[in-house]
Amino acid sequence: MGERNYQNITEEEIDMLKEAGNIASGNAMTSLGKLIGCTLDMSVVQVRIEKIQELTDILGDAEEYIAGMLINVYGDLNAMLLLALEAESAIKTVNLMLGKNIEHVEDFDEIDCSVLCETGNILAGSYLSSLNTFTGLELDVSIPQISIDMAGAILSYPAIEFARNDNTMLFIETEFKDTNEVLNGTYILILDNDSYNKVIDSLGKWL
Amino acid sequence: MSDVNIIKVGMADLNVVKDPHILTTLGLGSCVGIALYDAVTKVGGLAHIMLPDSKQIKNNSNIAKFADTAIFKLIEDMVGIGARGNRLVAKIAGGAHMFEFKNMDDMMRIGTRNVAAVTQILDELAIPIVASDTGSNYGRTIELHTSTGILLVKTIGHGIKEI
Repeated sequence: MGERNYQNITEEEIDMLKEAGNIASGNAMTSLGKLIGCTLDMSVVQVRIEKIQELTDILGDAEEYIAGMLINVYGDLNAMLLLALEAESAIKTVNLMLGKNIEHVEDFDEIDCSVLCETGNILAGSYLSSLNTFTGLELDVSIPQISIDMAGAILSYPAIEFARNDNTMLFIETEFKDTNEVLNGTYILILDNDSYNKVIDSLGKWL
Repeated sequence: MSDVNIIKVGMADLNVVKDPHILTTLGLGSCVGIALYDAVTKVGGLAHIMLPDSKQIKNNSNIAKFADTAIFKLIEDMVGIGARGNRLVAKIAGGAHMFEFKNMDDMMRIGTRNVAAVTQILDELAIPIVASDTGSNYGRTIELHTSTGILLVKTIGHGIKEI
């Protein structure tokens, strides 16, 4: 079993995580596309290690208005999944799924928020079941929680959790948009160092 | 006043400037922004702390990350550019809880603990907290204007205020 530190991540390991992220995100995006009736294009998956001083800007600008759906991942991994949608995209998602005509995020009611949480839940389900298939890792998730606010403020939550002992955070990032470029979002899996070791070890057996 | 610089302080970061410059930190969530100010020399300092206590961590290599270490460094740097320790006043903002995860009582929330730690340390140093805007569940961007000592708090959907 590995005792690596992700600060010294190798090119080969980055490729392994990218490949895993690619398959898992692909499944998650297919689910999301079906859910809202759009075709989604996914960017190349990136494996990023960012300094805490720069973490508030990883989704673009720290003050950008976004909807963040966050899920804690337990079991064999200690991780978090964050679905971040630009405010406009969150509105579009709610309108598509509920047949509404909401114009402002401020007009979201409890049902609208729970629909977004459920979207996060479904994505997490596809992403993690795919990860489970080729790593064998057993994963549980928390109930998703939503925050609609500045990107930096939302990111402070995982940052505090995952940059507690280190001054960096490791995450696998997928950006996506629909083919009409109305819906824009980012999907992020954040891993702590032990979880990074476990994922690499289990992928090593498989790849 | 065309040569006013706006200096950005990142998460787990701190900086000090003199009049007329402005210090800002964007998108504070559970973190706390600590603005210290000396009204005579118009020296300002801003720290963006993430956690209450460096003693819970081994090998702390970033003093700006923790309330206990950041405040001392901030004062030291301010004194270094002309501030007087016994004239400093504080304004604090942030410490929100952005997500409502279950099985977490209020005292366990990191935002609440950050605010409590900052308040206690400033109290021990006899630095008065003259204004604060903390808690609740929304993010804040803050700007410390060293020409006046005003701390501007901006939010999305919860207004702008000067404290």
